[in-house]
Amino acid sequence: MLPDLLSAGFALAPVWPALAAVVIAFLLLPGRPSERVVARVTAVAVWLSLASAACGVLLCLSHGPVDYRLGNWYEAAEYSFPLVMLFDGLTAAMSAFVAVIVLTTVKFSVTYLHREPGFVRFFVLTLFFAAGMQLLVLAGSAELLFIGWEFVGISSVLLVAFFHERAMPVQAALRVLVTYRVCDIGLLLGAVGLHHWLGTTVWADVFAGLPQHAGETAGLAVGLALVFAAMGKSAQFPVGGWLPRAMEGPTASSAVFYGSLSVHAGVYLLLRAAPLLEQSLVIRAVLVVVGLVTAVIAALSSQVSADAKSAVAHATASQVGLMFVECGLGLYTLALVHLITHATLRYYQFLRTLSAVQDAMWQQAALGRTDSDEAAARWEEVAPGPRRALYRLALERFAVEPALDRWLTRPIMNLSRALDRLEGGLLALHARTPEAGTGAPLPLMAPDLSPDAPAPVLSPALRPDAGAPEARV
Amino acid sequence: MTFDLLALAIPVLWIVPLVGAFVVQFLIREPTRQRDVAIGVAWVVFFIASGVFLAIGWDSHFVRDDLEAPLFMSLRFHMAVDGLNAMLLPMTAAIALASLLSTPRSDLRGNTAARILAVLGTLLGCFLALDAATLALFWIGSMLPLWQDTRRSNSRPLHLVMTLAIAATALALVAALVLLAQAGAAAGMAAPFDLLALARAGTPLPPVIGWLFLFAALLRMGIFPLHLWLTAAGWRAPGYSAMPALFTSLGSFGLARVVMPLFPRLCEQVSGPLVMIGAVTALYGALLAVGQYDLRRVIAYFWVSQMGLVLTGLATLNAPGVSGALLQAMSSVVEVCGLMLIALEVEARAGTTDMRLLGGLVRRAPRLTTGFLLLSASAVGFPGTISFVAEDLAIQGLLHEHQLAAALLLVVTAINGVTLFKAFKQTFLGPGSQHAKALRSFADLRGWEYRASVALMAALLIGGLVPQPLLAVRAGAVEALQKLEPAAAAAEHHPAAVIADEHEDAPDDDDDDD
Repeated sequence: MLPDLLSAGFALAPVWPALAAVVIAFLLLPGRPSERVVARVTAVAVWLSLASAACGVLLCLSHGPVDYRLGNWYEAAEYSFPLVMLFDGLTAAMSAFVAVIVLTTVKFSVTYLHREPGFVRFFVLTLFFAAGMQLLVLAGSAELLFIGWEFVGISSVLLVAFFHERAMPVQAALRVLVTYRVCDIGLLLGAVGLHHWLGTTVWADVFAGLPQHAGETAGLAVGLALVFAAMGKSAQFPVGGWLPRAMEGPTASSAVFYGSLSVHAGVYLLLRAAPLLEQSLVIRAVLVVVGLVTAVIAALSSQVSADAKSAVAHATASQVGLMFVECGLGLYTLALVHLITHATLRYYQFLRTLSAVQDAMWQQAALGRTDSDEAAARWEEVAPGPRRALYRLALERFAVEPALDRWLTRPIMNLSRALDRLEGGLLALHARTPEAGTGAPLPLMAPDLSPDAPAPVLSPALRPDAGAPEARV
Repeated sequence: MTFDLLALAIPVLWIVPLVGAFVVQFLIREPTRQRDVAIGVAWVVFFIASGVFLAIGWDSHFVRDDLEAPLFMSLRFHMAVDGLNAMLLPMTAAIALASLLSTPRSDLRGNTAARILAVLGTLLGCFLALDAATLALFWIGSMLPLWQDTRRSNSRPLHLVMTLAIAATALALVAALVLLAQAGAAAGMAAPFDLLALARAGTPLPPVIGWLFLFAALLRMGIFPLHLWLTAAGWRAPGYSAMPALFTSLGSFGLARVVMPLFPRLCEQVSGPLVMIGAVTALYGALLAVGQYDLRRVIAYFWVSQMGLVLTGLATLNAPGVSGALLQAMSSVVEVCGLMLIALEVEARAGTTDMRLLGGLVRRAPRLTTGFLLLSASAVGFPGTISFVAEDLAIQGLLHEHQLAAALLLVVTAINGVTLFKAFKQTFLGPGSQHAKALRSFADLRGWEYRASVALMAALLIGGLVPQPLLAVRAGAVEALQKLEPAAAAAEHHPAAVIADEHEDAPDDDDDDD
């Protein structure tokens, strides 16, 4: 009886924030609700979520791991989507940590974002994120984990674009979205591959079936796909360029997403799928190499970052790289402890960034130097040649992003334009008017010359003398 | 009693919009009254279609007789509501209604309103028909208003390509009917076009008829390389009247209603190629959409991509694949029509859908922005929406035999996500274009626009969170299509007989045979 109650309580951890987000969305229908109401609804939800997480801790301490099955979400013929949760020590620890961090963020943000035009939007997205993160942690199958993963992703993107009236946050959000979408293919491929390979995506069943399928190529493919997904979410080489750009969002969201929770979701995935990943030496080697390369690149980039938030973001990626290495070496307990302690430290550092800059200015005024100057002085011991080369490489973040743009993004866009020209040629729609698809010149609608046609209504922007503005990509 | 009401409702569903179109076009002169009458007719049809769906739509027999009567020579008035079309009726009516309500009053002259009603009537006729000739007649008729529109669009190539599309559809369908008539005459059938009669007769049908229907269906879906007319019309044709005609699931419905049940052997033969054509179409549409600068073109190519996904799922011929494809065909209609409505609302307010001239609209229109974001998320299969369930099922259906196509579709969903967010960003976010002065009077969703948008989002979200009833509605149809596979394998057993077997299980059969 008690385990059932505790399990049911734990399973509600993602439900409370989701419910609160829906309630606030309904409150938005007639008009903008007051800050006080939004803050109260949010606070109640995150406190309840924390209580649910506490149920999880009690459950794990008293009864050990529980495979909690709630039936199927939907089914069609032989296929079904199981609603299953896996409650073990890893889940309980992460769920409680998520609940505490979200609660702190909410308390901090109520004051921090007071009278901000996007106040309600911020809390809806934070609740959405909290629901996704809890679902991701509690998920007992790869498919359910994917749903939480997507919730976290979309709320992250929308919070990066929080200050949507400026161009940079919006551009950064697109960058984050592109990386997430591409790397999410890995998680989808992993889930679909698991279903095809072992006939299930439920973690407990997958782990039980592994001994009979050890050493198969399918296992390697699935594992690599999951590692790719984790790399995207945790900003690892070579798909980590989005992390410093994501600092465009409000500081509170930077702290909770890129300091503590979202950026560590990839490591959580590695820990969750550890029995699968450790089957293959190739996967472990990939984890170690990716982690080490990221750690070095991000640590150097952090040293040369001109703004405090970017420096902390690079430092975060560097430490997460070390967690990848720990997972590759099979040091899972160390990785979990590292995750929680590092996430806590970075969370604090992000929230302190603004006042830390203030402190540094005071320090500079009082002592004539700062801690950063002392750190930079250590590089004086390195010979000027290598130092200059390293400096330049770090400043350009080892040119990873330009290389990806050149070898991946640009060919896709060029292909798109080539296909568009082909279509235009086939249709001959552009015979008399400038191209309007992906080409640069703007379309100018030909006037309707038939006698019964109404006078063309064109906005001033479309008048022939308006000129073609620069294309914004 | 239910049957009597149904017997009344079925003809009303397609006759009333057609009569309404005639009245609005020829008998009413005053524009305000034309608009009122058109919207009134659309409301009536929507309520009746919803009533029919709620009353018997949950009865998931694949084929059942609801109304059957000889009409003219071998043309029979034979229509039915079943698991395959029950949901499409209110959905199509809702889209036509939304088009009418959203069209600016200045644009909703008699012609436009009449064309929307004519498309509604013919589409509902198509979905209801169980007679090949009636279906073909409505099928061709549903494209004619759009063809009329393209004559006024000042784009001769567009008019030409539309003419070719309609001519090709008409030729294919008429040729198929002629061949059906020949086959029926050879077998001595009284009703050679009646799909159920054909099934009962068990006469082997020449595969060329299946090819002709397949061609017409693929053309209607806009499958590569037969998509040119659709994307061109989606961009250049007058928007509000073109939308219900362009973005409809008629093509996939034709596949599921005629080609798959009557020509299972053909389907089995072309299953592999069709899966690959579908996947290539999905990728082609996605690649073209990602580079576009015009919102209407983005949506038109996105539709092509979605139709590729639907074809891929249907061509798997297994239960999860077909279930997912039928669900996707339905949800993509709602999502793409919703996105197109928003694009048209932007066009009506700003005078353009070129995203380089737009930007920062969220400050003027937060509701419109939220609507676009939610519809985009739904369209790319975000968890909790109908498309997520549909895509999941379609990909599961592909896994056994077509892993490459499954992997391609995953890439397509990623590209489509980027495409729609990029369009969202360029249109609604950012600092506002240098043409911001022209957008100063840009208004947000108002009145019916807002209420319709909220209803649309609610339907998509509720359907996505609780998808089982939607799957159950079509379970009978999918199950019946599954039963056709062993029939195809058995050389002696004609596929059409399976429909008859299925039909015999349905109630009311004997009453209607006379």
